[in-house]
Amino acid sequence: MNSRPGLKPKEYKSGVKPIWCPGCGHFSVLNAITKAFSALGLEKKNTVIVSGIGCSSRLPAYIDSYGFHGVHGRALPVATGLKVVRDDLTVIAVGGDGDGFSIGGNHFMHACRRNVNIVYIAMDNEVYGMTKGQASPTTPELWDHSKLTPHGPQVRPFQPCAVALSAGAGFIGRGYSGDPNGLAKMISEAIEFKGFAFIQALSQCITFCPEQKEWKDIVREFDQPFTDDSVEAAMRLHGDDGFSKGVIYRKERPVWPPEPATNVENIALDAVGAGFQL
Amino acid sequence: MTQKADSSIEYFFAHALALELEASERLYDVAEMMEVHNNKALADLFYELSQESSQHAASIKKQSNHLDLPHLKPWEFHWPGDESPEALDTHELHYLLSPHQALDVVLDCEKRAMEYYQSVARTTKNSEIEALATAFAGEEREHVNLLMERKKALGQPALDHRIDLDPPHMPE
Repeated sequence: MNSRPGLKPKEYKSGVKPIWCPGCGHFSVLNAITKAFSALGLEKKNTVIVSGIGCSSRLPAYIDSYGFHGVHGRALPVATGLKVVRDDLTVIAVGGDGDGFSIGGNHFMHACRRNVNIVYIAMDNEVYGMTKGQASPTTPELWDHSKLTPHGPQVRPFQPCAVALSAGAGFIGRGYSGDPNGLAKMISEAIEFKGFAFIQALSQCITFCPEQKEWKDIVREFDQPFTDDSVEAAMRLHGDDGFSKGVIYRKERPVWPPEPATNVENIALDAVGAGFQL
Repeated sequence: MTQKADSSIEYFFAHALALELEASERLYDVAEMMEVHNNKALADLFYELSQESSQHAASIKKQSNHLDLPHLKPWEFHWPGDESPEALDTHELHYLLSPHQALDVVLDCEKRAMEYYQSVARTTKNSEIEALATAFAGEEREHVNLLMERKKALGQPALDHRIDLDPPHMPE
């Protein structure tokens, strides 16, 4: 019950004022992250937020920890590299649906498969907001608000949680910006999970998709707790409309990279490395 | 499993304090949003309201200084909804928010807080909690009345506040 007393959530904020639009769901995701950090008593110096490009990828600037605002779609490779060499750090990759599932789509699949011990929070508002409202991979098929797709993208939306499941992610959850406390709980569980943890955070874009205001009436809890059976999880996702929230699946498996074996061959390799200098 | 606000005086104050702190922090966030978007009038309004909630939180803290309040994680509180009742609903915000709409959004928060305390007063079996919850509900009712007066003082809403000469969608 009692949380470890330490920094308050707002003490994890950098003091840089976010430039997101009023009503943007990303404010709630930011608050959920700082609440999770506070609840877990994380030290700022041991925490890193890595992002790509987009509205949501501005997030590292707003948190008082280490951060890396990287290249479009490349949050996961940077986060992976960092975690592999600094396993002592809590590494969290963040980004949007365009950054993560289109430009960085291939990295997403392989990060799930590789199972490095990091958290990936995809702030999904179903639109490219920073470039003024074009269809993204998760945009509904008939969304016709952009003049670039006047009849809608006419392509079935990408299913982030189903793809994460089939690619091998061990922790899969869907949160919602309208429930920052529930999202904070999910993020804290994801941080404590050993392996790749993926969270699809539904985060409304009031400016370009004002209809997403209705999400607060649509989003509800999954009617069952998470499962460790991937077939069962797949069936639940198949029967879901994308607006159920909660942890869907969690099952730990060996993380990458594996612990180095202390055999003769490695000792010999270490000896070679010892003489190497830049 | 944590307890509800109506179960003990410590849990009542823990919930009351969190309610005001969340309200204050959310209002501060909104004030910053408005400031960043060059809406000084609304930024000033929200900063002022945030300060008032912060003072209310300080007074609750002082009132409960002699108690050992439980440290609850944000998701361990028992609220009627997903968030504390006085936390401003960000879905209602917009970059073209008018002063009338801003006051309506804040009024909703105060009404939810009032109803929350009324329900605690109704359900508790502890007479001290009942008295405190009734008093806090009365304070929230005062806030509601003050905000309604403030809204009345604004006069009729401007009809053109939704006209955006630089609409967000691409023109091509």
